[in-house]
Amino acid sequence: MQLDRLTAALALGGCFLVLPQPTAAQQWQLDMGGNSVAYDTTGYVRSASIAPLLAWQRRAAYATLGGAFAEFAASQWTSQGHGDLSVLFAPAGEASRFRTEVVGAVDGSVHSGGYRAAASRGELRLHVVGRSAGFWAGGTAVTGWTSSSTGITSALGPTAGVWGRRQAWNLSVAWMPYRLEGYWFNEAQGRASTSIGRVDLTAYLGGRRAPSAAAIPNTAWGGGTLAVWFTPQVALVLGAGTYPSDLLQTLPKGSYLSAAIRLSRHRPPTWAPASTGHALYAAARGASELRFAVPGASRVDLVGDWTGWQAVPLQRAADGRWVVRVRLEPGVHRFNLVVDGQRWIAPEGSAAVDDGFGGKTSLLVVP
Amino acid sequence: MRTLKLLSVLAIVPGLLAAQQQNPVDRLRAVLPADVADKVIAIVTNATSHGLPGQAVANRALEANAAGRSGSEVSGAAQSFASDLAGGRDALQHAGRTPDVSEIEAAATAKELGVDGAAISTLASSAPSGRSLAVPLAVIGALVNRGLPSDDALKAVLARLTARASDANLVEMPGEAGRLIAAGHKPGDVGRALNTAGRPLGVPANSGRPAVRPTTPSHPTRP
Repeated sequence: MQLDRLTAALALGGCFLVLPQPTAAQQWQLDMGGNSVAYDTTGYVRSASIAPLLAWQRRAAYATLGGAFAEFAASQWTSQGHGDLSVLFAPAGEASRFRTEVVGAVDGSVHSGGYRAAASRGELRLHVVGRSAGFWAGGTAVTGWTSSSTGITSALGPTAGVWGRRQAWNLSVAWMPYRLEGYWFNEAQGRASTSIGRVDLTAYLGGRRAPSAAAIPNTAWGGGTLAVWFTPQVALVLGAGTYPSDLLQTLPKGSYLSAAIRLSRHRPPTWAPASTGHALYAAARGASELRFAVPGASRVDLVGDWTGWQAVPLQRAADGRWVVRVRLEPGVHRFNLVVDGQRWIAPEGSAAVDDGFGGKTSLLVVP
Repeated sequence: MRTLKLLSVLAIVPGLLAAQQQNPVDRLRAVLPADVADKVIAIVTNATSHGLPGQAVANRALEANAAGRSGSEVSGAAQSFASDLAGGRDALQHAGRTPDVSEIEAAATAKELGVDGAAISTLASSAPSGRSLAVPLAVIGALVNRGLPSDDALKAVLARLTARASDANLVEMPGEAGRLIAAGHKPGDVGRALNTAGRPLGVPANSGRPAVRPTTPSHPTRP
């Protein structure tokens, strides 16, 4: 038993050793904390856990390798591991909206009582990618194995999904029907995440509809995670929610509460607007709206090369930001804001060049 | 209220259009003292005769004037920018390119932002043929302005150019860099991180794992 525990711990530690030394495109994190889990067959059980995760990205390839080791009461323990790799191709060129993604994933778990389970997953996705939204369709094949079964269980099915991002919000919804042991199951899952200052929030919601002949009840699940970053490397992570049973690995559904300290190479980047929320680098060809946050201003004018450096007043929008509509030629444009008729400023977050007189001039790039 | 808003917008438009349509040289005559205007126009004419974008030089003088600078500072700004334009053009021509005015102006701006001439020449010689370098140069400048080493900014932009990324994709790079820096990455690492052109930003990077399953510690271990 001690040997099994050592093997599991070494396998988990190997997550840190398999990949070469981290480069800029790599991320590692280590969560240390406690969980309280209630399975559908038991009351709440508590555990202390340690969970490393490595993420690696280079050009179109993205991989993660992670796991968790948890110690329960009475010397019971469990260890989980997972690894996945996806490669995204642009068969029609990077400028096109189409991408093909090939995905492979494996995961498994070992328990001190001797129970073992593993699953693998292969997926092909065809993406249509926009600036702030996209969708995909494809197919999935999954297999599962447990130490208490005699063979490998397989499931096949199509998959489709959409994603979108707006302001600091990311949303995705995936639909994954699959055929398992002669029955069709319908599964859909949605996820939303955002960052507000030092806080990252993630919420998820899902459901599975099973055919009545399969004698498996329909189920719904949901939950969320809150991460508060004290520094770019340290966060408190709180989670709560429910999750469904795993039909392939015959693992029970449950509900959980968790708390952990996360040590990270750096806070994961999230898609979010620049601090002032203006669209300096997102101006489209043709007419476009520029928006600026200028706290405390009662009047804001814009001066720039396209106005002949004559002041043009901005309008205050309902959200408090200052707005002007412009039609600009492609290229690099220079401008500044004039606050209350006196103070020239380069909006926060913009690329600004020294104006040669001790001030700054903002740059606006129009593709 | 709505009518008032509409009227206020309509009131702005003619002024904006007029400013946009007026020839910069005519504006120089209109806003500068005659002797300063003569000096600046001579600089503009000289620049134009050497294949440089004279309008950009005039605009630089108008900018200095609008900022309340003296006549000598206004003409000095025009002369200085004309020299920057010539430097930018030379760096592009050094790589065997025949730059257009927008590329010359972008190269001069990139130099102002801290990009060295060698990086500009490398971009010009390595970028796919037939592709305007105006936006790539401006983006390199913006990345350097955010603290990235010139070489790293060049490599990141070149990687995306080689992958046929659009200008619209390129102009998102300074914003991406800003977010990475805000998240704690060192500027030296950001260039290499941006050098991952293949994965569009919004595509869920869940590698096929169901996206909603919480990762640890939310994803509890199971006894």
